[in-house]
Amino acid sequence: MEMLIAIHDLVNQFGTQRIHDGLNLDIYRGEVLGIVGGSGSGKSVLLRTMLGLNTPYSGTIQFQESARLKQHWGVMFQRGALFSSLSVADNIQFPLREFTALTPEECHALMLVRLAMVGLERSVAAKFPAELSGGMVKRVALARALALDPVVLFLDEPTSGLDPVSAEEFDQLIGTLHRNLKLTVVMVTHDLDSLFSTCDRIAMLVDKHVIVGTLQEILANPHPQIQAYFSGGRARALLRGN
Amino acid sequence: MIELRQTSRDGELHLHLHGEWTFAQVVAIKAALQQVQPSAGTSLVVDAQAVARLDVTATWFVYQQVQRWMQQGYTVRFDHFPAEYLGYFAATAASDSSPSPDKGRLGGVSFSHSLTTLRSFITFFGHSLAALFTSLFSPHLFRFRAVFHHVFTTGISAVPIVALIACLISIVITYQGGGQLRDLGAEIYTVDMVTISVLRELGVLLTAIMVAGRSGSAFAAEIGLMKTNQEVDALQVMGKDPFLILVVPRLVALVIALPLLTVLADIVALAAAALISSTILDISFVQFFSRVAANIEFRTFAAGLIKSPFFAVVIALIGCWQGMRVTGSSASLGEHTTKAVVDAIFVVLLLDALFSVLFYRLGF
Repeated sequence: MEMLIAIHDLVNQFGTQRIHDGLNLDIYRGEVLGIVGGSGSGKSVLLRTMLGLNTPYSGTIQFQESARLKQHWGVMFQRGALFSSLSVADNIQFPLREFTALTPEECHALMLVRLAMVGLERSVAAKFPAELSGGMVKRVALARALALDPVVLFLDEPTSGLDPVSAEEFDQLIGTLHRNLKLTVVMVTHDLDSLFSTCDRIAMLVDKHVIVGTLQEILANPHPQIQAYFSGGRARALLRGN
Repeated sequence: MIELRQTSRDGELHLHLHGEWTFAQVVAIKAALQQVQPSAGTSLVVDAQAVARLDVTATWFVYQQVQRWMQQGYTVRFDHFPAEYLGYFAATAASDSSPSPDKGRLGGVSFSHSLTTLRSFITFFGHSLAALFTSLFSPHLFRFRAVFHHVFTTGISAVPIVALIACLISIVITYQGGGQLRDLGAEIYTVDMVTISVLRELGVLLTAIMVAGRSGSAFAAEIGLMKTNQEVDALQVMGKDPFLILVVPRLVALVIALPLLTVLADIVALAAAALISSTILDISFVQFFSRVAANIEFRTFAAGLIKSPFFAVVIALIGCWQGMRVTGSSASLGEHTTKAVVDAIFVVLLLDALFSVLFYRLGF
């Protein structure tokens, strides 16, 4: 498989507190990678470091040629990070207007397509972020992340705050995009449902490193933290279902 | 990178998509689609079987072209296109309705808006007063630590800038006035002029304007951000009156801090005036201060100082009120922070004018 992002010997340190210590992670083209770990294990820091929002203490992160430009990334932040002074329509069109030579009509039409993709009605387009519910903010944020048809999609807790139906639709949408676009998806998640149903591989942050593997490999790993993470009632119920 | 191969079979024109049909290729895609000129009456088949990558935007441009062909009377069929994509486009087209008509601007809208604003302020004022009295009669509700904190941030940390401003304005008046009066041979009256104007008006006014800019905006921004972050709601559902916790300490702190800053400004301004007088007008320190002691009554100082608690109330209430009016967006935060400063300065000047009239009538 083709490697898209290679993280090598990453060290992140805040003051004397070391978050990642020589972390290695390879992300392949076309996979859906779920990053999991307990609270404070450095999931978000890892994601921010990949996105260049956090300068690592040492180590390298290499992107393959096709995913090097930021226009090839779609990023969905945990709380949406919608521009609060722009309407939903302008939020989604922002990347289209800034980075492409499309006409305003085409931008508008493509914006409506993105809204349909995330399952929102077109009447939402005229609203402002402050008028949206939490779930709608997530969907609009995803629509904006998808605006430029990214090569790699970074999602920070995409399904938190969504109702179960929306969360499942969200998982299906990721599946569809993944199938048709061979889209690479990197998601930080706590949602065991989407972890089990959408993710090809799981990267678990343990002891300042990652342990990567398919769901079965991770479940078979005897590390006590991994066992603790997947031995809760919710995880076992899901595993029985599968 | 992209290719559109045309083959004719059984009277149908087959268009095969090859290569990477992605966003980056939009220009090439449009050009390739334009080149297809089907002869009249043929049916077309657009086939995505052999495509390496196909993204939504590229598919949308193909879809748009197909729609145009269909309008021109061709029959067009999609083969091997992701059904989900076509579903999105169909959903977009189906919901295509005319945009909602613009609401006409009604006369009286802005009048009723200003009435609503006024009502909002009166409600806020009443609520603040109620909270203030509640905390006065039950001292355990009064938050001394918060008051000290705000006295520090609004008062003590403002000392350098307030002193500097007082010093500068006093230098300006002494130079300007002293120069004029010396031509008349009456430079000793510079002392009276500087002292009266600083003590009665300029000391208190400039300090209030400075504090409105520093602390009024800070109050609006702090409370506004807490409002958007639902912290105000959190206080409310915990059964704590947000006014008691957010507004009363700021109000009390500013009522303490502003008069103290005014006294400081008066002292610094007089000292600066004495210094400038001794250098350019040959009025020594002793002369200056003995003249102040002989000619300036205490009530000149009091007339200035008594205004400052009123200004403090205005600045604190308008700042907190605008903060409470912030809704979701960052634009709203900016708007209300601006209003907090502008409105506070305006009302301070208005009050000052009223005080002047009042003091004149009272012979104060």
